[in-house]
Order: sequence, then structure tokens, then C-alpha cells
Amino acid sequence: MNELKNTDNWDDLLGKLERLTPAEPAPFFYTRVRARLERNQQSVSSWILRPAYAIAGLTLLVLLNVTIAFSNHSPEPTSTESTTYDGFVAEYHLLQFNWDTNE
Amino acid sequence: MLLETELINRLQKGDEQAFRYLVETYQRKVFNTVLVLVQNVEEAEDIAQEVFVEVYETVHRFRGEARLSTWMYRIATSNALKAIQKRKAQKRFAFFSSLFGDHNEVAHHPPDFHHPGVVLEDKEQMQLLFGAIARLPDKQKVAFTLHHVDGLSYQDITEVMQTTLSSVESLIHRAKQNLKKHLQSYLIFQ
Repeated sequence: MNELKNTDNWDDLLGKLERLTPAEPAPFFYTRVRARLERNQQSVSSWILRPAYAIAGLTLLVLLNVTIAFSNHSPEPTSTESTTYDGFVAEYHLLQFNWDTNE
Repeated sequence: MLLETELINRLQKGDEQAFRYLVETYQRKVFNTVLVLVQNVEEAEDIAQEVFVEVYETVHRFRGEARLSTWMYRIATSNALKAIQKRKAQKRFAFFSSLFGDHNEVAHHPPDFHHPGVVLEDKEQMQLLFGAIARLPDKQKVAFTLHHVDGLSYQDITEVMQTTLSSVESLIHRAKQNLKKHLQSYLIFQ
């Protein structure tokens, strides 16, 4: 390295960097970019078809359906609840109007 | 020659010819920027291809806030820095695994970099300079490379690095100081 001493100037060194002949990428650069793009697009479409992801997706769908079905399920009316007019009046302790006596 | 607005319009419509024009116009610039940053021809080639793939896939989101070249320099420098970080992580992992491995040596040593554009008589000197550039902190490395290798103005660099003019000036000043410091044992500057 000693032969470099006393011969170099900082500005010269920077000048050499700035005048560097640009390097060329390997031939058929565009073709290789296109191939990479196509590979990317294929990998996206094949990703969803992989059995592990397909089964996981299907299971998730089934679970979601089951959860929604149970959350919307309303309980049947109990037997103690009234279904007739008399039962309703009795249950809520309402006064019965007597049509004969108007009382 | 296509106007930039027309080129962007056509790219956003998925025009194949426009994309080919973009790649052929910018491939050398992108490749050279990345090459100086990562200092490995195969890796630079790989990253440069990835830059154009990213441009193709995200151009529909490009709103024209910056020039197309600025946007591409931004993608190129950020991908190059990611690759450098990844390489450093691999090197650290290789060091630790070598402590417990069969061979008592550290793998993943990057070979000394020789830029293909350097003339023979400057080869040794430029190898030292590239070695010193590789040791700069990331931001200093990017600012210095964009200015001294790609010839971008300080104003252009503010747009690429999304920072202020004073910050770019400071980064380049500190990069030069660090380079001189790294090189002073080999070179005497007049």
C-alpha cells in the first residue's frame, strides 16, 4: 500500500469515483424482470390452492357459519308462558271486565 | 421518447411497451446505484430486477408527488439497504453458528469488491475507497453515493431520502470526513 502514499489527492479520488464508467447489467435484463413478474403472479395464485391453506380456509368458513347459527338461535317460549287471552290476563293480574254487569 | 406523465399513465394501465421502455431507460441507473451500495454484482442484479417488479406492481398507487426517477431511486436505495441489513444478520448468525460448528471459521465473508467500471491503474485505490464506503453508516452511504456516483443534486437527494437540505449537506460532509479517516492509513491527502 505504500506506493499509494504521497500520490493521492482527495479531490482526484472523488473525481475518479464520479467519472466511473457505469457498469452494465447482464444481457436480457428486461426478459429476466418479466420472468420474475410472472413467477410472482403464479406464486400468488398457487398460494391459495395449497391444501394446507385451502383446508384452513374451509374450516374457518364452517366455524364462522356455526358461530353465526348459534348466535341467532332464540329459545322456545317456556310452558309457563301464556298463550291464551285468559292466561295473559291472569299472568299480569289484569282486571277482567264483566260485559254483563258493566263492571 | 415518452413524457413522464404519459409514461406513468400508460404504466398504470398495464401497458407492456411502456414498462419495457421504463426498464430499458432506467436499468443502468438503478443497477449502478444498487451496485455501489451492496458491492456485489449478482446481488445488485437481483435487487435491480426486484425494483422494477415493485414499480410494476405498485405504480397504480403512484400519485405523482415526486418524479418517477426519484421514486425509483427511493425504492432502489431502500431495497439495497434492506439487503445489506439481511447480509449483516446472516454474517452475525454465521459467526455464532461457527462457534459451535465443526469448522472454526466465519462464513459469509464478502469478497473484496472490484467495480467493473474502474480502469486497471486505479483498481487498488478504488478498492480501498469502495471498502471505506461500505463501512459508512447507511444514510451517509446513500447520500454520498447518490451525489458522487449518480450525480444527483442535493435538492434531488432531499426528495429521494425525504429529508431536509441541511440534513443532506450534513450527511455528505460527515461521509467525507469518515472516508478520509478510514483511508488515512493508506492514502495521504494533499
